[in-house]
Amino acid sequence: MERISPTSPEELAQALAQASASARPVVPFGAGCHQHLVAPPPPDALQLSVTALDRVLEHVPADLTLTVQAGARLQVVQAMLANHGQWLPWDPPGGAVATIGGLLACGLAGPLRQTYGTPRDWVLGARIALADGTLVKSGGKVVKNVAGYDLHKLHIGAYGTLGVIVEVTFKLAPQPPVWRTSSTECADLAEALQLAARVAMPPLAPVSVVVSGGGGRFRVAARFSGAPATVVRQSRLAAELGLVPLADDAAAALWTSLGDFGMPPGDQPLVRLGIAPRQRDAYRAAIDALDVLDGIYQPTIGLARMRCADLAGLAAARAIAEPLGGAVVVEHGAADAPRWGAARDSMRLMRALRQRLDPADVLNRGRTFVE
Amino acid sequence: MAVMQTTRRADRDEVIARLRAALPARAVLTHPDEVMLYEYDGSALDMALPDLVVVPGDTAETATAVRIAADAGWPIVARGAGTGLSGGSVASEGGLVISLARLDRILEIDPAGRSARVQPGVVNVELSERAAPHGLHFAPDPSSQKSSTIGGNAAENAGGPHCLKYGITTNHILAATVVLSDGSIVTFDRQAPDAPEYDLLGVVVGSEGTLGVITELVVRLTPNPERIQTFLAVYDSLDAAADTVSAIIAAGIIPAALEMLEGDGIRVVEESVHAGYPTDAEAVLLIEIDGLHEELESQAGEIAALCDRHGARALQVARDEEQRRRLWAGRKGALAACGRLKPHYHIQDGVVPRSRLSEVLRLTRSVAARHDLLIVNIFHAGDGNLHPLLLFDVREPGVRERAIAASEEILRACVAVGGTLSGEHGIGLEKRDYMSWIFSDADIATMLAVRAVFDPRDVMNPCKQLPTGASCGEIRHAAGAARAVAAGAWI
Repeated sequence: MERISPTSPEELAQALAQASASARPVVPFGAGCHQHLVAPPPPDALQLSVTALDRVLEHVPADLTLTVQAGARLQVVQAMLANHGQWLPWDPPGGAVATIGGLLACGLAGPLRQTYGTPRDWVLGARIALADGTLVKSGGKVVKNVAGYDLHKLHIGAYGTLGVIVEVTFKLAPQPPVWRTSSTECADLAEALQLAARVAMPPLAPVSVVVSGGGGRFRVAARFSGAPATVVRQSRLAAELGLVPLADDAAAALWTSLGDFGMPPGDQPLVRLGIAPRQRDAYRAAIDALDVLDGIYQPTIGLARMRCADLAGLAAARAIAEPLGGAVVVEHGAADAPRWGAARDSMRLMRALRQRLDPADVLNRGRTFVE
Repeated sequence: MAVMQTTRRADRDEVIARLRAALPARAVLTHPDEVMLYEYDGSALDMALPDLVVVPGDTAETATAVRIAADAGWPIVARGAGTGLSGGSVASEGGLVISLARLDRILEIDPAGRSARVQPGVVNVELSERAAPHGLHFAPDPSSQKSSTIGGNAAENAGGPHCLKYGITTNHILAATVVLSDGSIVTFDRQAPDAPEYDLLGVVVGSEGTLGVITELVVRLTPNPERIQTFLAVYDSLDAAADTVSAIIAAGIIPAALEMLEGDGIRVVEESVHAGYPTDAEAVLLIEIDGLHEELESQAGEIAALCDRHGARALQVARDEEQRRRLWAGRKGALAACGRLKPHYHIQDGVVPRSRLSEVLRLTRSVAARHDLLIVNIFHAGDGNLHPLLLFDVREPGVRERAIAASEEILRACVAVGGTLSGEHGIGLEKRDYMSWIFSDADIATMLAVRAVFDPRDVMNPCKQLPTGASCGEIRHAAGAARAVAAGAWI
């Protein structure tokens, strides 16, 4: 596959225009660590890398705003922000190597989303290279803005099928002064999920609660942040539920491993279940329908990511989740199994939108949920 | 104009007949006295009579009305409580207004899932009242919240003081059922995390009725904070107050709300509301923090130190809920109180980076002075979201033109320092023609392309939010020009 790494947004846009003119498939590329989330590219595709667009364009610490190019690596940006006591409260899988543009295109987020939401809630605006080579922007650089449609939201989780993100502006958060993690183990997933739900109830206010593991060993981990007195009380409340504080380095290692679950993908299929958090019974039933080896579970937001022995239970899990608006997606190892599940209610509009914004059908053609 | 009216009138009888055949009799309003109630919104700027009003009782009736109007080529304007401040629900091109007032039921509250399913006509504050027994509330709190509806909040992506910490409406909408211009009904549902779907919901929210009519919503409910603490910081200098705001944000403290009142506004608010603001102050900050007990202890100390360091004359803490309520009553009643200063006002909604507040505030004062206008700033300082309130008596010759000129100058200044046209009121008609200040032709063309995907017939709130150029058609240009002459170029 031919690969180019344009050094300016204009050059990247120009490459897209040429690809559109010759109807050549384009594979937008960041660090490349999440390409397994979509179908393999056609052999004649042009790999269009954003990695040379890696500059921090503007960081205004006093405004808590940041504008970066899409190829900037999240970890590098976080290190720079840390010098100012700020951060992007975003811990997606592959965060140590991935580019910000790639992570946004894949719509990835980690356990922090329980409190901080997903990048959708932190992106203030973006500049996009459209398939025809036009560079457009939406949103802006201030923290509150209702001028025009929030088109930048469309590109988050669109796998580059509506355009290539070249630049993005974020709202930033102050870093909490103190962190503490408490955890315990359960022999049974049902018990672990129930405990996780209790740990998420006031007066407890964990930043994230995650159940992880498989077989007969499940860990329930909760982390708390804030002023020293805050985490002391929160940890004490967690202890009343049986969760024991971890040493700082053990906690850091734990959250890194949880965030990077499934990275890099192994031999077994990886399956993601997402369902409205209030559908607690269906959440359990869909998990039980699958032959799960191990996984990470965030019951309070209705998310589970699982390594499965096979995909025999896929159809059954979908039959439970899809009628309730949920989805079961094969993140990796789909082979011949359908990766995305049934079309959503909005498929007609999604197709029309893609046709409008990529009429030559070059951007990740045939690789995603919109075909 | 004459041609348009003749065509409309001929259409009108036929459209009425079709609507009456398809909908319950009480859903179709045709009498001039009834239709006149739908002539304007909260901005009281652009007034226009709709040809007809439909008040549907459910999603299916809404879809029927949309289909009939769209087939006749009529503009379709959805409307909640009509409290908008940018002309978004004004039927500037005539056509059909769909009032969602009868879709006012809270369908379901799910305490464990922290969400509620509601119809669009539910009044904002009612949802929080109903959720209160579960320790939850609906976080967006526009000043209009006692009358504005959740559907309208979603269409305009409304804000409010507590959006500083909790985010604006778009962060709190989980799903929306929308009637498109072809009469089809589609649900954009993001309750399930990471579903394989474009974020069309994120585009629909804040699209000001230009993509479809929202007939049902699922919204996020937010846990009530463990504790709330409210401060009033008093200043003899506007700069000192603005610098305190910038310093609080720069120190990494995100209060729940951080509001400023300044100048003559403080005095009239105090006279009418008796909120407890010192009438000789040059500026006051209303600072509210919320969260866990221990967090408040540590933040309260930092905030007190920052206020002191930046020249606050006094810092009061609300002793109890009653005092807190009064401090907020001053802020929320500020706009009405300013009617005591002058009978007419025009309010802007520009946003600036929070580090640039004091310079832009100084500029608004000099602009007002130069145009011989009274100006009061009552606004969401923590977000950098200005609400310069230009006050005047419209009977004074030339004052309207001066207000327009001053208003434009202030907005241009916001844009010049890296800000934007609107933080929460929307673009509507009012700021549509300013969009080219911040967006290129290609940016706007892309937004129009997305609009065409949802509404290929261009009947959904046409000529709003985006400058539509040629696609608006000659008749609409004529209507626009007529409005400018008739009502003053009251943008």
